[in-house]
Amino acid sequence: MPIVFVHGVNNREGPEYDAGVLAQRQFFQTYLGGVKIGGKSLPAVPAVTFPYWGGLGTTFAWDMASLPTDEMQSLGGAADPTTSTVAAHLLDALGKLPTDEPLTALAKKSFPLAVDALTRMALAAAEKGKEAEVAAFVVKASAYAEPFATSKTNPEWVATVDSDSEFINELLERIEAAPADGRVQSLGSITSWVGDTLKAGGQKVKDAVTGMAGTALDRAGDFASTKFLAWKRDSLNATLGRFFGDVFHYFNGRGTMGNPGPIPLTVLAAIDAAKAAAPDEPLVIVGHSMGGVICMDLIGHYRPQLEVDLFVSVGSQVAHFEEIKLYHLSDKAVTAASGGKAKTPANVRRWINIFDPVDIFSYAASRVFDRVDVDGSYDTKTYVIKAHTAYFEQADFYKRLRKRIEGLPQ
Amino acid sequence: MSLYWPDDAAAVSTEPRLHALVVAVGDYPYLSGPKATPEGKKFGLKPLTTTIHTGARIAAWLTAGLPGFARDDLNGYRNTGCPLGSVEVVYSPPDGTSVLTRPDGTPVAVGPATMADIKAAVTAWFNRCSAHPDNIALFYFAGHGISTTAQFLLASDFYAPGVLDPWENCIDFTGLRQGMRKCKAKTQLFFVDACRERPFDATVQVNPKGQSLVGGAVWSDPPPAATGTYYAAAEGLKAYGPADGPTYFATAVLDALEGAGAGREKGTRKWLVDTFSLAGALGPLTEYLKDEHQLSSLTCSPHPEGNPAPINYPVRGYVRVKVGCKDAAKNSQLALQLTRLPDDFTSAKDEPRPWRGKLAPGDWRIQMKFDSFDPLDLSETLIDPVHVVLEDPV
Repeated sequence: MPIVFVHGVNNREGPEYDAGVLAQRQFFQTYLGGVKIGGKSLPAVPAVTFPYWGGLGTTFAWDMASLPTDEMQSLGGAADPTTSTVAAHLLDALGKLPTDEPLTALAKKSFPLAVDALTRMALAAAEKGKEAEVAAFVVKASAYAEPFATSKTNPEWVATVDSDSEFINELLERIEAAPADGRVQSLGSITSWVGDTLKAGGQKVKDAVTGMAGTALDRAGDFASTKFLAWKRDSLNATLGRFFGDVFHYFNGRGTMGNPGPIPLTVLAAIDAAKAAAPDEPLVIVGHSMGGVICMDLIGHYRPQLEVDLFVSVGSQVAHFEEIKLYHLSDKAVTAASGGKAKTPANVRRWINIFDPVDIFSYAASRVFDRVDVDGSYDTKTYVIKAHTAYFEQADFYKRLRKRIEGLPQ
Repeated sequence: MSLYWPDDAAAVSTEPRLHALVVAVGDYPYLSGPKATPEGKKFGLKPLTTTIHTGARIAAWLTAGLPGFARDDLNGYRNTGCPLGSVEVVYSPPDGTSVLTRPDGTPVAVGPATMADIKAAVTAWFNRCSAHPDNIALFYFAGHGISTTAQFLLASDFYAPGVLDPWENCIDFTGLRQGMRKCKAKTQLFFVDACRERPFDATVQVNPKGQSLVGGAVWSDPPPAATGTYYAAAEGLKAYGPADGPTYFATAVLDALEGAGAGREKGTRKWLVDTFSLAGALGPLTEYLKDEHQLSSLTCSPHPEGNPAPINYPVRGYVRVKVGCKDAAKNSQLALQLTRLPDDFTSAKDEPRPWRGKLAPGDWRIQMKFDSFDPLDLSETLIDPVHVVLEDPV
């Protein structure tokens, strides 16, 4: 198991998490298979393991009853977090909320962004038993959109689409391989659980933005993003709440090398098992967000003898927490004032740190740590709130990551 | 006019006969393409060619037993107690032509499968079927289908612009089947070669209604003595067909009628396919096609009701057979000899494996020879519609 992915905060078991894991596994296997790292190659289809520590994260005694709600209700109606996330996507891309066929409007402006919205909706709507179907959709749709993200063009067919249903039908038709050799016709439409779910989600988005546009425009004459952020506040507030909760929870309960806490124990067990299962393959540890922080702590302090061929931190606060000196290895004497930089753990052979400047939870690392091979930005092309979770849902991200890896010294 | 056979409606016999209506729709101009309406495009339904091949094939099978209509690949409909009476066809291929060539080489112009033509064809068909209680009524629809509050079968002009209720241009099959209680024909066969899924854009419609075309039946009308309703897909699922040939369902139906669904008629020992044996054969034959074409999503749903009623007396019954090895390398060495005197069949080792073919029911000796393995000598009793032999040598 040469790739170990350590998730960040806000991950809780359930169909959405499971579908996300399935999609990420397929992405890693598709885009990182066979890549060379330090003279060693990953297998063509590398094993990927996902230690789950979300169940060990923080809990809220009143189930976040402290979140204010009145203003949000008056502004946003009953829109769920996914609907409002997609609506935010629309606002960000279009500068206004379309009231008619919003996904089609988004697709005509930016096809990859519309696919991002659909993959997010599919993941959020995943149900028990449908995880694989959702994951397959996410991977295929994102892979189909990837060349258009690179070329900043749209597929020609998007211009002829008149409705969200038609857009979803056409997309599904193009990404779903027909049975057998493609010469088989179905005596019906391109229906699937994912397709119907997306259409239902699209209808909710349409309903929500229609209501939003009416309310906000009538009151202000302009759809100010600050009002929109207020509408989004419930999910943003909850996200921040869980983030800080999990951060405090980890640092308070991480234990020591001799007596690791439950989260370190869980993640270390997965890393040790991965190494033991494939000792001759390169070990790649990927940490997203808080997962990167946990990895840095574990690799540097709890497993100093473990050779990590490649550490990839994505949308992570690794350097930020070093600035606060929260790691076991942190040396408070090493600061900007002292003229030095924190030492990257010696057992990390190569380190790629990826951030999106729009992602408010992501941080650069090379101005804090002394050895960062790549400290690069990746544009998720999303907006502030969405960017943090967008990386691993985009085929383009994995493709670019592979290029970064291939550019490392062997 | 949509009469495929005989040439003249006046020549249609009023004696017990089988009267068929075949609806084959491939052209849906208002659902995709340049004439498509924005609302029609939402369904994601595309033009079909497999249904057009199906319509032609079903019509050819029905008439293949007629003088001058014989074909090498089909024995056709044979029932001396209820011979073929008429075949009505409405047919809309994507290229817009509605001319079919009959097995005798003569062209026949049939009506397009628009709702108006379907309605006219159903009326003519219903009246013929109802003319005698010993008639067999056969309805075959191949085209797009939607199943929500009822099973809807879409005419070629579904969602045509200017029609206030776009659902007017589709058949409410559930209603049609119920309405057919009014028809006097005691044996009624319905083949629904269409999808049975519930697309989102249909489920959000307020009260979609198609046309049942035959109505006014009352519950006190006795149901037909024998009814067979044979769906090409299980409820909620899709039906499929190759673009260059008839649908898989039509292939299975005709295979069953030609003999794979036959048993011996009590008393006469004649090979007979009846409403129940046809239903029993469709499942295994669908599985066979599923395996042959590697289509995991193929299903069917046959519903015979009432008493078993004769449909077809094929020339002979047969069993669809697949013989080979599980191991591909061993398959490549396999030479076959299949024997059931007086039948003797040989298949050389360079032929496709597993071997697939039709064999007469009964006890067969199957000899399998290999270059580098010991031969196998098997005795197999072929009875069911489908028989599979997959044996590997040691």
